[in-house]
Amino acid sequence: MSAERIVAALLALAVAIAWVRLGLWQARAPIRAARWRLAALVVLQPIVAGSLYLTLFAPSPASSSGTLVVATEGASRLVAIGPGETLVALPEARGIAGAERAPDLAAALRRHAGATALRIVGSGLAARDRPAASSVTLRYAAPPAPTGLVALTPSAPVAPGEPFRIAARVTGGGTASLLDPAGRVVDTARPAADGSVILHGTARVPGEALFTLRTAGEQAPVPLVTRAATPARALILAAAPGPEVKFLRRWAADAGLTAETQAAVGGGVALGDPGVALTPSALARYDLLILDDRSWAGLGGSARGGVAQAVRGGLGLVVRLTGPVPRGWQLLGLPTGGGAAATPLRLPPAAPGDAALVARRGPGTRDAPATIAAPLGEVPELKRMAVPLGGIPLLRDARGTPFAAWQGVGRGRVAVTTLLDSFALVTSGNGDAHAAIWSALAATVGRGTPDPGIRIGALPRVGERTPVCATGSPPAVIAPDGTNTPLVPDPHARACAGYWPRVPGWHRLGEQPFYVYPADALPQLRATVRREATLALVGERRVSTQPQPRDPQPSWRWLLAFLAATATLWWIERRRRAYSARAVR
Amino acid sequence: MSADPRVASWTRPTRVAAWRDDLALGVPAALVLAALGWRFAGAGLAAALLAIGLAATAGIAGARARRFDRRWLIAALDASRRDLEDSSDLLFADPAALTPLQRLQRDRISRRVAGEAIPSLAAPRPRGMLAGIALAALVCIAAILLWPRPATVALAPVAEGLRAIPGVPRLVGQALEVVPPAYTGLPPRTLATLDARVPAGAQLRWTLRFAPDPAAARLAGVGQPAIPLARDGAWHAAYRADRSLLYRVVPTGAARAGVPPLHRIDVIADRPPQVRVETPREGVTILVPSQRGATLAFVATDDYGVRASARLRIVVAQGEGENVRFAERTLSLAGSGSPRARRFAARLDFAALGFVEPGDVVAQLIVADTRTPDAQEVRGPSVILRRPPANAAEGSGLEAMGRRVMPAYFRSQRQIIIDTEALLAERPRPPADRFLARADAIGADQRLLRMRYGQFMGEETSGASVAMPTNDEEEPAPSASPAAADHDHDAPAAFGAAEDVVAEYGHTHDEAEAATLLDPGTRATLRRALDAMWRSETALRQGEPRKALPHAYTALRFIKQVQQATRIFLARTGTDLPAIDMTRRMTGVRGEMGPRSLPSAAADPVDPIPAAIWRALDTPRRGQALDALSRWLRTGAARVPDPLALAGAIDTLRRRPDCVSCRAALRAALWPALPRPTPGLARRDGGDAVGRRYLDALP
Repeated sequence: MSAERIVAALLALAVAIAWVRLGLWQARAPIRAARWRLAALVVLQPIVAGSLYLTLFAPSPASSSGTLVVATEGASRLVAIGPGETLVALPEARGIAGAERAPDLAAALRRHAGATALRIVGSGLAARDRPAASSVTLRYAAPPAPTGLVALTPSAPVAPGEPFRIAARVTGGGTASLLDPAGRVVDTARPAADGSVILHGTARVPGEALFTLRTAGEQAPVPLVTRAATPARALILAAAPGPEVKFLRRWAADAGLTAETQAAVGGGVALGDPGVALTPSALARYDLLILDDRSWAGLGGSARGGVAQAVRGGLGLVVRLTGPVPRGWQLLGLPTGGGAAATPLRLPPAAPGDAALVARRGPGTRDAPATIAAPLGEVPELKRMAVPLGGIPLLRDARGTPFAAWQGVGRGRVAVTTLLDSFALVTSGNGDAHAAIWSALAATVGRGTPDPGIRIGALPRVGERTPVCATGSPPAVIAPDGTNTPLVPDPHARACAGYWPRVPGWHRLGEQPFYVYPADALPQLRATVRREATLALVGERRVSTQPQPRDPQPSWRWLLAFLAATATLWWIERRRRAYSARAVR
Repeated sequence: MSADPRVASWTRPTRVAAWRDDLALGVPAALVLAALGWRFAGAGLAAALLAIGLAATAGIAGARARRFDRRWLIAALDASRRDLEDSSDLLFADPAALTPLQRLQRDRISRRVAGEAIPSLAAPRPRGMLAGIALAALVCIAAILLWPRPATVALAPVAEGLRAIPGVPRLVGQALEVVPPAYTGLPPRTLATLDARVPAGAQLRWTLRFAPDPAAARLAGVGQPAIPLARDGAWHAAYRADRSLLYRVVPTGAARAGVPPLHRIDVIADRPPQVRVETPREGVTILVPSQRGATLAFVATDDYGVRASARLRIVVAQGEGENVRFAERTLSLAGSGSPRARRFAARLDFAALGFVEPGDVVAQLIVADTRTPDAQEVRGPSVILRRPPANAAEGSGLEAMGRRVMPAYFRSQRQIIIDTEALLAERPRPPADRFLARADAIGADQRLLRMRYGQFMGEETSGASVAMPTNDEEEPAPSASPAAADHDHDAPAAFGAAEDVVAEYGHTHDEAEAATLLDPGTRATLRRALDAMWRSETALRQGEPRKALPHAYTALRFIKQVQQATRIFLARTGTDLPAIDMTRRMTGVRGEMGPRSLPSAAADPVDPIPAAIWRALDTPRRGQALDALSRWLRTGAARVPDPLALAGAIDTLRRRPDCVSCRAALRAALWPALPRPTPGLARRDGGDAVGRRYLDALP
């Protein structure tokens, strides 16, 4: 039994009771009421009940059949409509002549239950309206694709000092530049034919920073979150001391890695920290193991098995090739070709210009101030073993030849690098390039951390729903103005919650900051998203044969009728003059 | 002819009137002149002009008054008194020289003169005219002094961006005059903005106008004392730009209108001149033997100007071994070309310099820029002209083989003689104990020298005391091998540096009789030199340098003989190392050799303060962060590219703590100062439980 029927039955019962009461009252009353008054009381009871019912369950207004023309954001003021078409304007469409306003598409469809098709005018449906449109036939004459910044993927949270990159699509020509918070250009690139462009920058200390993407027509903020790195331990083994080990050790110390280094000098004598038995349990304490090929070759079968098992458990393993490699040599399944020759290697330029390089390097430290850093062109020629690498290329030289590659082994990863003398980068004033190479290797293969489980929708914007997913109960969101908004996870949506930001700026979900764009930011990108999403909805759909559910919303017109009838009833029933006049007589 | 008293008495009224008239004309003129001087150049010139004007007036009036003499009186009397019958000159004539007729006439006229008063001889006083002149002068002076000063600078409109509230003073006109120091040669300019980049030492003058005028106003500097604005029609302030300035214009009573924006004066420091050697191209030029002279050319550049004359410092070092003589002289050169890039050229004539032997000529240009008061003087790079010793060319390929090992030692013996003589010649004579101490010190040097030569004779020395006083090499690392100990002679490490081939390679294990490096004759001479040194040392140690001196000279003479006799030739060691005997490799006793720990490789920690402040900017502890940043900026300003901008951003944010764009500006100013940590192991996403199970299940 539906709510409507229950309500109807209750109302009918109430009318019946009212009539009975009226009859009893009249029978007992010492003075009979006027006949017209009694008739009015009797007639008004069902009217009141009926109008209350209609207030609660008003029928839909006369709904037209045919096509609904929906004006969306960017529609022109005058929309031509054909016969049988009804024009509806969504809130984003401003000043549409002769249109019926609708709060959203779902409401419009309810009002016009007979509509069988939608024709969209303007730049497309907002995310709010797309689910409603997915069940009807939809036609859309899309406007030309917007030009400018039409797609943007900011970087995921990075570690301090780490290089990061952002992806964007910029149509309409011109170059794209990435500006750091101080307004200095850190990268400039010309978009490819399809407009896609990737720009690089470097992070600084933990915290939030707002970079800027500058294209020919507009400037868009690009948020960057830098998270303090979790402590990591590394084990560096070398079969001989050398500058490569020395500077690797120094890099680890500078980068905050707890590194244990051991370099054999022959005859069972080793320099560095006390030896570590390469068993899975001992290696479980480490996150990264860096070996040279001679120490790898010198490991016994059990040690090698221990390393393999530790790698399967998540350890990262990097092997530096330092000499000839026999044909068919492989590292835990990462294949390499053989080779005995060393060939020169030139790194790709670190930045598009000297100014950008200076901006990326920062002010330097007391040990290595920026003044002693090498200018852009002064990168020494390095050497690598001419060994073809299998697996997934990780680092490439200026000509695109990979000199480091990696492959997953169980939970862990292994990598091989053919670079022989990366230390020359440090001694020539390119310490940042050295750190970038080894940081890329370490970050790619190093032991991972479990997924934190927090997901925040891309490019949140003021006034738009932002999905926030977290394992367990999501923490509250703290807005820049200090507002604390607890999130209510939806159990049907994999415990994701929706959040509607009200102010732009840096919000905080627990410990995780995220940036909310102002409502009018990235206009071309929003238009492109609307256009493409609406185009994806275009298609003929069979209209549902089920009757349209009635509008459960109370209607204010029926409410007025109800109030008027009730007031009349009350007035007639409580009318004193009749009694008093009659009593006097 | 004596002066007739009547002349003076009769002309006095006229003279007084003339004086009066002249003063009445001249004094106002002088006053007007003085007022002009006051107006345009101040009180000093005004006083001077007044004095000059009054003096000129007095002089002119005096000269004019002197016209009224006897001749003028006679003419005036004749003109004014008909009854004198044009004979008034007879009144003043010498009666003795007159004819009887003239005397008769004189008497008549004398009677007439005595009978009737002398009329006023002066022209009637133009009182109206004098009053008019005085009035006109008064008006002139008032006009000059009170005429409103023309706005010397055109005031530019203001863009302070503050709300206009009626009754609240507001800046409505601004101008900034910049007068760079004269030596820069830059023209003065007037800026329409309140921000400027000016050369160091420039005079700045602000001209500001407020509406309505405030009671007071100042230029409030950030981190610097305020500069008060003085009212003089418009509001003015002056500042000598010796250091950069960040300020805002603050009229009193305008706090309601909001905080005025900051303006900055950036001071561009004068750079010292740069000297570049144009000719010759190399730092060391080897002269050909027949060369008689050389041409040097330098180019000195500066941001404002290089002084037209420069000095060329020439040091001539010639001779060999101990006999290197130094002569220094300075030439004055005149530059050519524009002041910003002057070229200085000189032709060195070796004969004039006295440079005839093998040796070096070192030339260095000393230039100064035109900065006043203290010019910046810079010494340019040295140009070395080298004339190689004649014998160096005698055998090509033998340069490294033939080495004279001796000369490095001789200077010491001569030095001992010089020191001894200096000690003896010292006046007043030092106290006895100091004298003895210094003699003893010279004796110690003598001993060291003796032991050096003793080595050539096979005398073993011991202890670290053999190191020369000038030896700056570190202690040799103690050998790890006990097997090497019996071979360890504590060989002199750095005596004579590379020249010390004997010590380094020759290590002869000399028995006194087996020192075969030297021939017997040389050995005998050296032995005698050593004996003389011994005696010299003994005397020095006893505080009797006078007795030591003859022995020291004897030792020097013998050493000279050795120098002439001695050449040591050693074959150069090749780079071909002997083959490794693999059978013996790693078979020795390794004993105490064992694993060694490596020294710490940790670098200097990165300055954590800016990073902490960066994080704190978004937290409620923002105020403390700003305080900390201000403190840090005072010490770490050198690490910030633009400390002024950062200071300004701090100040703005402190005044408007809720301003979002101000915080962005502060972040923009702070970002370049943030150090970039070395990237390390950024943890990758290890996946969730499902992903890990999948990875575990992979073969």
